[in-house]
Amino acid sequence: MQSRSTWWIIGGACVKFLLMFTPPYGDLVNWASVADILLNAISTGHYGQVTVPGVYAGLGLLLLPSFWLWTRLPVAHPPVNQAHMLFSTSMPVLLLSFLLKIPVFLADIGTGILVSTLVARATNSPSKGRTAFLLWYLNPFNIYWINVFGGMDIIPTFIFMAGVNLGSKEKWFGSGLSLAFASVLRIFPLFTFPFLLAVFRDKWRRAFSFMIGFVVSLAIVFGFALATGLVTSTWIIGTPSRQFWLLDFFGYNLTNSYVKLTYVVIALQLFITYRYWHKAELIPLATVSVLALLTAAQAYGGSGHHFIWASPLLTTSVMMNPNEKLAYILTFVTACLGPFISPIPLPTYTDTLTWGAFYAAKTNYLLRINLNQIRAFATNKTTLDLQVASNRTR
Amino acid sequence: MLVTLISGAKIVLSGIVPASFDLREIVTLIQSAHASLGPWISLYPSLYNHASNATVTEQWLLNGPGNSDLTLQLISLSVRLPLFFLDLAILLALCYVGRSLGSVTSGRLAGLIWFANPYSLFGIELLGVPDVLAVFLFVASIAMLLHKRAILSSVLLALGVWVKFFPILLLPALLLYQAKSNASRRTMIITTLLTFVGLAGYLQWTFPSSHLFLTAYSPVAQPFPFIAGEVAINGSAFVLILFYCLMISFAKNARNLIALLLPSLLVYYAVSNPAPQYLVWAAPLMALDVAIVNRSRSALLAIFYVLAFTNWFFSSSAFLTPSGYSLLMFPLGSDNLPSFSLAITRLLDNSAIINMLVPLISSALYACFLAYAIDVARTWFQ
Repeated sequence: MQSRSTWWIIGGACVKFLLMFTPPYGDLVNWASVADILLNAISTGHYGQVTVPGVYAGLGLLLLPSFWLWTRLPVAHPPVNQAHMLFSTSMPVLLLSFLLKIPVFLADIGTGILVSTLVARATNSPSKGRTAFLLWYLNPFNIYWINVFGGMDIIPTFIFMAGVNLGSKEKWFGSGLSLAFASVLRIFPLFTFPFLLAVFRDKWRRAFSFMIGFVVSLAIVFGFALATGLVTSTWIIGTPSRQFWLLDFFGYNLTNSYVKLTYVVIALQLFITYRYWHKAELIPLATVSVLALLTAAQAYGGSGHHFIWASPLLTTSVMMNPNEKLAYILTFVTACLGPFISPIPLPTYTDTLTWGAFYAAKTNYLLRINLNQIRAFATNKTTLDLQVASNRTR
Repeated sequence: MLVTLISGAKIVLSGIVPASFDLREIVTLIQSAHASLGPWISLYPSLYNHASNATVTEQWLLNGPGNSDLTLQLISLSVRLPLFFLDLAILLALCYVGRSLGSVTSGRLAGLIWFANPYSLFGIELLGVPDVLAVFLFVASIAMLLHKRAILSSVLLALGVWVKFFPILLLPALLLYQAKSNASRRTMIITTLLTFVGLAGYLQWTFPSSHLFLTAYSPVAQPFPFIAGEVAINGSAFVLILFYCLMISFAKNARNLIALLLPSLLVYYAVSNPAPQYLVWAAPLMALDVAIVNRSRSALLAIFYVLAFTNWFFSSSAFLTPSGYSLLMFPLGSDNLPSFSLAITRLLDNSAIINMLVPLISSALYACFLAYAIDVARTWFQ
């Protein structure tokens, strides 16, 4: 069994390495530009430019080693912009694409290991842990958005999953710290924060450690940036006005332009979690918080690669609760039918159908997890208790 | 004692707080001499008749809280006093309903939650709009239903519909309750017929002005706004009909009147775009719910009112009135503003507040409608 897994891992790695040589398109070119701007800022000492990449600055810093390595290679270095790089098959551009995807690949492997550890610990079954790793590692959705597209989202997702892993080991300060770090790179962990607080209920000391780790580290990062003049408070407050696409994450307008679908879904999910869930456990809480955000927000804005945020959590969740299997399969099959990812180019008029199916599948998954937790509430048992009981019955 | 103190405060504030934009609209409607807009509007002129000419009326509408002119304060008081008495009457009706459904203590608690609520003060006396008349009629209708006076209850409900339409949304829940209470088929038919007579009265005064009062205009009546575009399906009608079907299917054994009535209004809020004062409609039911049915919802009730109040603050530019003052009696519209007022005006103009905070508050309030409705409807299954 173990040797078969090893072969799958090696085979998967070979395929992934090959796919990392695909020509850059989409946001990869933008991320390369950010790394270019930051490298210039460092080499010239003009850090004022750091404000240009905006919310991508953190990710750009993580890509600096790869980008710097590319500038040292004895090949031609075309200007890093859409005109010269988009879908280019020239060797220098393919090399840049490959090098930028190396940190992404490492985060991919790291996330798989974290998923495997979480599952093995929660189910007390190393073989389930290995299956979880393979389920993550060989998922076509992940392969496409991480290794072909080069979705940098996997880096904050890896850090977020590290936080969840630390939390499951009761290391709450480190967990809060990881969440804060991930929030600097991508905003989604901020939305999960109020959900994760439900884990503590009356355990104030642990809650305090977690909040110190989260709030203090965020304050240190922003305090440093403000004190050194890298950013100003006006610049931070004005971010949504400059990068207005961020507001797309608020989702559709409902009854008026101020009632936003994302806020409503998250607030409702928060209410249901605190009011009806019997025993709030870390992994279901993290999963519903990210899934609620993506179910609502992506109906309007965002791209397919944002679903990488939820993918490792769903993999963990389905391995812990096999009754989610159908919801899991439906979610990822419909996700793979969406525009861009499908290997067979579908006519554009099918977009609404395929995306519609994907949104329905995501919503179904969200309801499934809630029903599991409320069922646990009704029977006064945790999800894991129910799972153990269900396994015994079989 | 507490009620006396609160009443004193409400009466004093009714005299000195500047007239709201809604009051000015009502006066404008009367002066425009168009078709009569509602049975309640025709009551207003007699309230400010002692302002014998248009100049004094205009002065009153632009009068700030600092002006000690007794005539203008008397006009404010005389316009708002009937609303205060209706407010007080609802307190008494709630005490009665609370006593019938629970105990004397819970009845008093329900009355107090209604009467001492700052939101009621703002939505009734200070705003000066007559939604409270329809609210009183439907609370009195509930009281008569519990007093086994089904026909009188139906008459009061029909009058409520005639005045403000929204009590008709409670009809399915009331019929369901009557069916559970073994009311005769005749009584139920009479209730339905009388309510539709009330609806005919409502249509009779709204249609001459425009059918848009029934379908689109916000301040007077907004029974069925569209959430999916004017040519698409009517989302409100769709969701409400679905809700009533679910209620009839799942609340078969529910004997709790409040648990049947309250979700109907909350679901309506969620599928409409309610003006702030419309939230007063559900306030008596929410007070009864917390006092009698489930005290654990008091935190949710508190969150609901905090969000509703904050949302109103932002959507009305800090409760701005035609006088340039806020209903909270600080200046907002003059040249030499104190630092406190300047800070508030800057807050209201801040793009981050408009883009981030206001949607957060509005959406959280919307989620609160649904959360409260879900939590109350949960009792259908118990």
